[in-house]
Amino acid sequence: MRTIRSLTILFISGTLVLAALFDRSRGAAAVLPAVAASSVSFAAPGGSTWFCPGGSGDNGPARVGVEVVNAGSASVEVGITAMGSKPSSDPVTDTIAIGAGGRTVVPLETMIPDDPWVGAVLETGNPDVIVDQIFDGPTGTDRSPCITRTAESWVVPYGATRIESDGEQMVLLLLNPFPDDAVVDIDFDADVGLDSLSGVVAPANRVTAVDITNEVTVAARVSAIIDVVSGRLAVSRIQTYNSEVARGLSVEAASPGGSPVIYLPNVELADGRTDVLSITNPSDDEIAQVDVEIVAETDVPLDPIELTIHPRRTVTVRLPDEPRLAGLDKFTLVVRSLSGVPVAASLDSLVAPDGDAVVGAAAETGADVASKDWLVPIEATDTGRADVVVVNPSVDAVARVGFSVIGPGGTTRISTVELGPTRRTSVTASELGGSQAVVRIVASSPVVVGIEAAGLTSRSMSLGIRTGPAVPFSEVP
Amino acid sequence: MVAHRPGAWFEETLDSLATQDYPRLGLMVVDSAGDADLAGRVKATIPRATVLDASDTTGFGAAADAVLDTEAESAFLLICHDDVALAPDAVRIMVTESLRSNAGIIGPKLVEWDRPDRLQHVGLDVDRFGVAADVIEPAELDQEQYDHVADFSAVPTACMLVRADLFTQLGGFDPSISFRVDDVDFCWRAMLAGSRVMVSPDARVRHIEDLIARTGIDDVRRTRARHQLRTVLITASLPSLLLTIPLQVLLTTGEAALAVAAGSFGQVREVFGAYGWNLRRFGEILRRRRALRQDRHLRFVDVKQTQQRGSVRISAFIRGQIGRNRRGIGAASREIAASVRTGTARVSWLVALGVVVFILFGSRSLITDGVPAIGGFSAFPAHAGDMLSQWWNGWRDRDLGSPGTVPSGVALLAVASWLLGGSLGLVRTLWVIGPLFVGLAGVWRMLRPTGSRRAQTAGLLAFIVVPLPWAALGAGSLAAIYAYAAAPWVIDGLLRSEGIGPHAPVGDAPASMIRPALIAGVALGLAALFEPTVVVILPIVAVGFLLGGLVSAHPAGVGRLVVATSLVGFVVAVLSLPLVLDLLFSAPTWAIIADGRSGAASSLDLSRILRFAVGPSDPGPLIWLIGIPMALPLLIGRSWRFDLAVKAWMVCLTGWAVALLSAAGVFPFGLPDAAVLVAAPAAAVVALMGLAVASAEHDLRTARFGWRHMMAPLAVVAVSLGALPTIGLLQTGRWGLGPGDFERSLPLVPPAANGSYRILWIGAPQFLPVSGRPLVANMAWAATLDGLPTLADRFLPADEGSAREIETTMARALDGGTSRLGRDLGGLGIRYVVMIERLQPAPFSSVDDAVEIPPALVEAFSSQLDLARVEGTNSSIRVFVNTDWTSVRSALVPGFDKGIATLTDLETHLLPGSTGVLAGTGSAISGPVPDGTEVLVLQTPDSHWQLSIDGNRAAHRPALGWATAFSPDRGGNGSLTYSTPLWRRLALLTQVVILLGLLVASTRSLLVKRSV
Repeated sequence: MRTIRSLTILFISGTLVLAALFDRSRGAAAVLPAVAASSVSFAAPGGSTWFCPGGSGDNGPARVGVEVVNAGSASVEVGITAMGSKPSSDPVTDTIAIGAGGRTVVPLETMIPDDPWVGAVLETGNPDVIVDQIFDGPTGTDRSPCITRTAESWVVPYGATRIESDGEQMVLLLLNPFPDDAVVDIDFDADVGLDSLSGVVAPANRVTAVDITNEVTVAARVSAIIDVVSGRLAVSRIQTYNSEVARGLSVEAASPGGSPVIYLPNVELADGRTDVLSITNPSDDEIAQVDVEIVAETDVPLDPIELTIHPRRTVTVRLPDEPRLAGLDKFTLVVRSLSGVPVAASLDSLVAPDGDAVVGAAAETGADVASKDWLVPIEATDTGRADVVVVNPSVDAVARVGFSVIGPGGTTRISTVELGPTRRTSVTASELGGSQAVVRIVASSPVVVGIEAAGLTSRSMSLGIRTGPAVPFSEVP
Repeated sequence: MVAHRPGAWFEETLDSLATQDYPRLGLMVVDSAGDADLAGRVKATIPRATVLDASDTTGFGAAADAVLDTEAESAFLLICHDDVALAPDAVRIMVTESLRSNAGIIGPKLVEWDRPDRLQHVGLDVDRFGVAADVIEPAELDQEQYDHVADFSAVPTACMLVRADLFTQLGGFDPSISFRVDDVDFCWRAMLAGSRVMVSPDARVRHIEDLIARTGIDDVRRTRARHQLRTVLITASLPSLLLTIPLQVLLTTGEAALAVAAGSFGQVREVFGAYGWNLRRFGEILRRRRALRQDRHLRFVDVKQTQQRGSVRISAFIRGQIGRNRRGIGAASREIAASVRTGTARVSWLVALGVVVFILFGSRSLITDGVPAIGGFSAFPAHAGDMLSQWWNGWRDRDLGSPGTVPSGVALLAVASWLLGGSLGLVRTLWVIGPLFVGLAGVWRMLRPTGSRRAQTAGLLAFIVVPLPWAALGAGSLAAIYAYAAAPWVIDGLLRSEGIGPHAPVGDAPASMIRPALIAGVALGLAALFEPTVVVILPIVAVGFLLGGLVSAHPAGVGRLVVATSLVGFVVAVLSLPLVLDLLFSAPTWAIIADGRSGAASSLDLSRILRFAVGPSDPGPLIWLIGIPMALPLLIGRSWRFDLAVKAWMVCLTGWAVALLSAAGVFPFGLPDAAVLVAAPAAAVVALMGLAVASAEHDLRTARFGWRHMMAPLAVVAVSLGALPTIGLLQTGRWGLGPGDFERSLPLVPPAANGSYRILWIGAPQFLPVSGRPLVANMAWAATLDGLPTLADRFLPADEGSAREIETTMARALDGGTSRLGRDLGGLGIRYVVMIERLQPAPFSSVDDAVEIPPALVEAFSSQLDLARVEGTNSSIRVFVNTDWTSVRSALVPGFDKGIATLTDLETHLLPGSTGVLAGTGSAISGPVPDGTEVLVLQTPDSHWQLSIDGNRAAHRPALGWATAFSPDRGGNGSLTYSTPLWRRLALLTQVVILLGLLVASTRSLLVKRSV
């Protein structure tokens, strides 16, 4: 009896101890992976909804149209709903058909005439459809992909409002495609001080333009953190320069929130060109310790730029002024928040008329995810150039990157390159078979893709459009 | 003298009359049994005696009344039984006292036949309920302490001297009162007629008092309950009745509760049956009341002053008088009666009463304010009839509709509501709290084989010390409450089926496996009628017992255990017949058991599982102390105490292991709420605490004094401290459950405005108002029709119908595949999406207890262009309204679905304008249908649904790839009806018959005399 009793007690105690050890070692509760509020537009397998915050109507600073690209081998139908800014402008819906490999530009002013600001929502069930916004204004032209998600928080890291002295105008466009009004608060951090705008109503199914030039005047640098108190929005920024030393139009999508790691693929140092890196810490109370790493196409190791960014503040870096970058031509910047506090980053590029480069302004929102599959619509004039930039964010994996061109006749494989860890490469449009090509990039490990195009009188740069699953940089092998 | 086949003592009785010193005593013997020998026996002793044949009468009173039909003339009547022996001067003393005191009725001092020094009756105290109790203590020694003449409320009919004119005036005894309480009735009527009722103790009478042995009928409780109520109804004034009857009902309920706790269900029937018995004789009662009014000379209030204040029954119970001399009555009542005579048992009953009071007191706010409709505590429909029709019609509205049967518990609740006068609120409260009392009875029964009343008492206390029931109440987990209530019955049934240890049969009698398995099966099956998920406790207990047998190296009975487990399972299946048939006819689904869980890992850790901290209120570290009494039987127990303790521990380990593995996401399938999984371990903990007491009683006596003896007081201290968290919960009167529910928090539009609609509920399974289906991670979904769901919506149907359409649609949204989810959901009739993050709305629930909806899920819904977030709702919920919804039944232009082959086509092809028609729920819906329209019915297609317009059946066709469109020739009054298949109704009726049969059989089994 004593033996059985002892064994029984031992068995029970042992089981409880094992259970405790098991409990200690088991994983956390299952959670649904959060959908990264990515700044990279995404053509989903089942088709996406493209939110184009838009631009101005006729006679505005950035007349807007949407370019719908069908990268597939069959014709598609896309529903487009144009939205104006005036209370009297009800949304107008239309359906457009695009043939295989075709492109169609829809000037939004034709759908919503006589409205100073117009935007659009495009819906498609086809994963091969991608949508860009194209802008044309008195100061230049630009293009950027439409946004594929709405969010409750947006960050615009850079803008300028010295309209009297330098012709700088900054406008935020708030697209509310939802059936209920949205309300937003905007905090500004400018070189002239802090400011805020509370209770801005973005009416349902409307575009709301907020001219920051009138709110934060005479600022050489201003950033905006947009908190959507009620509802959700898609937000972009229009920046114009119109002076003797700077002239151009740049439109960039705002960053939805922030990310601990951000890649800016298209950075260049050239005569007359001024690239400004802006990093915003949207956190309410956490300081961000940030390293800005340089990924060049050479083997020269460069020390990162170390920054401390206080909550709700923005730091800008004029890259030409950084001595450590001297001698570099084209490179990529990696913004890495060492403290893990998400930040938002953008690159604004302005080329003055006195240099060799094409005059104009361009802006690019940083990429917060990588992917193995990308689409890049190239739109360059015959006299201009376009570079597709691919960056391998992995620290030890070699990415085998294949470039294909999609046309009406199908997909044509162009080339394959191997990209070492933390390396970048760029391919010109001419190498990819033309100035109007749609390039599909498929890599063996996640990469970041951007494009920079320059015409005769204007420039643009943007990220590619992701068609594969998003891979946060922390999960890149 | 009324004689009924008197025994050998009869001659002594006759002798005592023959030797009276009262000179003018004549004897008239009324033969109530038609005894042919009686006259000879009487004449042999008293030749002058008269013998009347009253064999056509029933009962003492009716027989005694036979004297009214004779021409006997006398000033006094001495009415007595045939088992009394009067002292020679008894009659004289009584007559003298009657004359001296002007008393109408005089009783003697009754002493025991065989022990004349022991008092039997010296007058009776009677309370307002007609319950009589002796003024003396049981078997009190006669020391002349009561030897003074005094007024009483009644004197026993065993021997009473009555003024003959009074007897005639009152019409004798009430002939409808056969036995018992006839004395109270007669004496009260005599007092109302202005007579005194007195006892003259100098008159001594010996009395056998053994009616049951002579009649062979055990009807003490039944006849007393009936006749006491009759007496009150006849003799009490109307104002007095207004107070007395409600109090009587209260007392009866209390008595019934005690009877249930003792497993004496027959007593429940008998005490409540008294009301029906008197109701059937209501006319006769009214006639007697009128007759009494003519004879009345005293006011009711004067008679009332002679009555005992309070309840004689309660005070007698406390004094231990109930149950004396009840040889031959039923086993349960005999046990109760016998037990109460001992100090231990009296303490047991007081503890049982205390435990009941504890539960009632702790639930006081739930009882008075009602149970909020949250989690598993579903709201009830407005009428019991709705519940019954939902059960009967065979169509389930929830999700996208499907054929299926609502669990029959819903019908039982409807019947209970009718029995309780239509009080659905009371039924709902009983539905939630009532199982705890069933569980208490189960614990009492489970520990009865220990033979230790203290062990049983400890079990009752342990039942309320274990935090599970209160955690379950606080968490709105009805399934856990039912599982905890059923678990002791299942444990008991399987142990008895094994037939070993204390459960072994006595002597050569074969151990019966059927009966215990039947009782356990009925208990579990009844619980499953209300919460199907409770069936998981059966395999947990069975596996635990198997392991226990192996670990303790006593595997005997394993074979019987396996068979008994199968039997219990079979009984449960039979009781759930319609559901089983549904499962057979449709694709078997595990979802019914999983209750919305997918098997994903949760945050529940081992500490909370072991402490039964499965609700919002954490019992804290003190609860660990109950581990000490749990360990006691393992450490000191011997023989069967040790074996049972090992089995109980194995049940604990099994249940805890299943809960832990489930929480860790080990299983590829979902299991019910952890609170249900640990219900069997909780009951095993209760058993262990009872076994601790049994071990202390049996095994400490023989052990040398040492550490073992220190364990017992340590265990008592540990339990006392461990109970503190539970005691702390008493404060709110609702076990931590807030008073609010979502009824007022949800901004839902009445369906009558735009037609019926569905609500898509998303949240943690334990927060949903109905059982859900797994969605993502630890989230579940469910869809219900028109407003807050009610009880019938709670249960998952075996046939899921087209429910997958909702899952597929939501999956597309989660994958980012659509930003027009509203159109897709609109094609499913879904108007609202409600995300629930807490069990109750703020401020009745804490943010700490919230289970946040995954941001990705919120994001997926928030990003939809046609779902508008309803602002300003309670912080515990998110509500989206679908701007593109279509009524579940809507009228549209013919050919409305051209180009719409599937739901996803709705994203690009909007339905033309529709009008909601035929709003409502159930199997028969009617309303006007516009002319020139088709009626789109957004529910799972089923050929048993037919639309008739003004009696003309409309043709139907598939629509939207999943729904049905009816194409009537013209508009008019439409009627959409569901023809329930005959087999389903037959299955329901069969289930009712089986249920009644099993209930009767198991109740009989419970009442059969136990060998232990």
